[in-house]
Amino acid sequence: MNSMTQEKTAVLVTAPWGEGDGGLDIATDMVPVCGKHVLHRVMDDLALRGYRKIHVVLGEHALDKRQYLHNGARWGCEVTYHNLNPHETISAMIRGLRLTEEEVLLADSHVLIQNESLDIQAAQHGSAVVMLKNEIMQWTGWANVKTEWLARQGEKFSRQGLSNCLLQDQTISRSEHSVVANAADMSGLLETANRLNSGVVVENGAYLHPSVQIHAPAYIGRNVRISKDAVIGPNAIIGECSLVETKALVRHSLVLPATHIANSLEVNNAIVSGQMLYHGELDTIVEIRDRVLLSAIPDVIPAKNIADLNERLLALLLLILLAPVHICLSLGRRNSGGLGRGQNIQQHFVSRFYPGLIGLLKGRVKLHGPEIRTPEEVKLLPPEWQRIYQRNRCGLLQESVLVSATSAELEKSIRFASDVYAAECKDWKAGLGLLARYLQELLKVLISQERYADQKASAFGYRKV
Amino acid sequence: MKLNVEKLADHEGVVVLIETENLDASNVKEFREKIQNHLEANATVLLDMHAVSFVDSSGLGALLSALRVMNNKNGQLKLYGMNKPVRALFELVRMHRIFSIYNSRDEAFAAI
Repeated sequence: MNSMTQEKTAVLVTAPWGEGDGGLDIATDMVPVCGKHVLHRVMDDLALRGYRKIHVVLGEHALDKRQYLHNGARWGCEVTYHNLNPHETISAMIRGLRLTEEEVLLADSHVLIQNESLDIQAAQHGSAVVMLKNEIMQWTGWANVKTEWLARQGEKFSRQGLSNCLLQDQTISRSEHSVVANAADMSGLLETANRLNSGVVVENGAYLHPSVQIHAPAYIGRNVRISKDAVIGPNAIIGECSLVETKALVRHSLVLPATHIANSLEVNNAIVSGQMLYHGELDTIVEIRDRVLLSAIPDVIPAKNIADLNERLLALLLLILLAPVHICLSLGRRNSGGLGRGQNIQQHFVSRFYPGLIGLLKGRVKLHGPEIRTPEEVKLLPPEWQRIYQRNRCGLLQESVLVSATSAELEKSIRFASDVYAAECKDWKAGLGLLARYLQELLKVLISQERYADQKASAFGYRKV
Repeated sequence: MKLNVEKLADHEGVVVLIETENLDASNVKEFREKIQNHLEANATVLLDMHAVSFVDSSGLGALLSALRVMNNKNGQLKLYGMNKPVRALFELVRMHRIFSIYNSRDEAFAAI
């Protein structure tokens, strides 16, 4: 082993991966968060981990990044730049480096490390955030790979391709927490995988409610879901698979992957990961113990553990009992081209609730999100938060998401609100109560619709058939 | 939980030092009961939060109730000496927009 091999080497890819962030006014990894670019934080972390030789693969905004990183002296590293030509793939570029070291850290410049036992600590020398971990449990863009392995990878280096390769070859487990919805399920929501405005990037699989305000620069990762009236940016990065609830505000902040931000929260000048919040302005780290506010979206439990026999039987019973209602509503929608009065709940029933029961029966869905609160706990909440419970038809619509239980089914998964929680919740009394309320409301709408049809028929003098 | 109450010399009001580290579901009922008399009897209440290092959602609820009581009678409730984690929580849930929060006792006095 020569002296070169003793230096730990990292390849930092700052060029776009696959879909990319082409056309941005500012590179996503150059978005300042708490007064420091994400790229800067990544470099901090690499230096802290002892990587002294860093190959930086440059794509767009190459000049900006070069000027920013310079020769790496401020981190005590030796930085070597490699420009990615428009027609060259990242894999070809990395292979072309002919790295001789046995192991290389492959890093994505806009993704910080995260693992199950994430620990955020303020570094002694300032407000830098340091992510500590012992081993890679959850791949979010970083991996130690063998150079031989790099050489074998051919042209697979898209973001997804790399992820898949790592999962297979390095046996790194990746949490399957993505919130993916089918088209029918996402009525009223806008699916997009495009750059919305200059400086705003929304990755594939992200869902934004049409009322969401996004101020550039902002980056929204894969499979992120942002609910209505939320405000994102300026200077915001939402990590993949995160969930930002209604009226929440995220600006000058970084939300790490798989984090749940509850209704009406204001994340400003902060880095959030699960229940940990680092406040940049105050330079403090706080653990938000209330999981309803901030929480990590947990890994999916294997399907066999999801619904026990009782839950599945209840789902089957509901499927049979509610089949006539489902048929009526589906036929009504087909015949009239719409659902008419009370359409929200009807649409919800047809596209979310009923399919969700089938998913539950098959063991394909699992509740994600904070645990249910008891009525006593709700009473202790500030009035503004109590209203969240009162407003929601089924009690917990904003607080939970159901996703597929297996990765194979992920793309087909059915995400729907927490109505099926009623059938799945361990607190079966509360669950049944929620379910009863839901069905009662549905019934009310159906009855009022019937009456409305009668009134219309008599007003226009024709007989209802 | 103990509340240390000190009369203000120049104003009709009190400074209340919350002598507990956690203001949460375990003691929030007691806090509500103990603070209620001071809220009703005074036009100005300054809450010294120095000792409090953790507030949960029920603690925030109790503080909001206190604010409502004071607002209803056109009184003043001011918080000061909040430590950083508590302040961060207040900002997260936007309570810093509702409460008058000051860094020090002097600043809070000056704002009366």
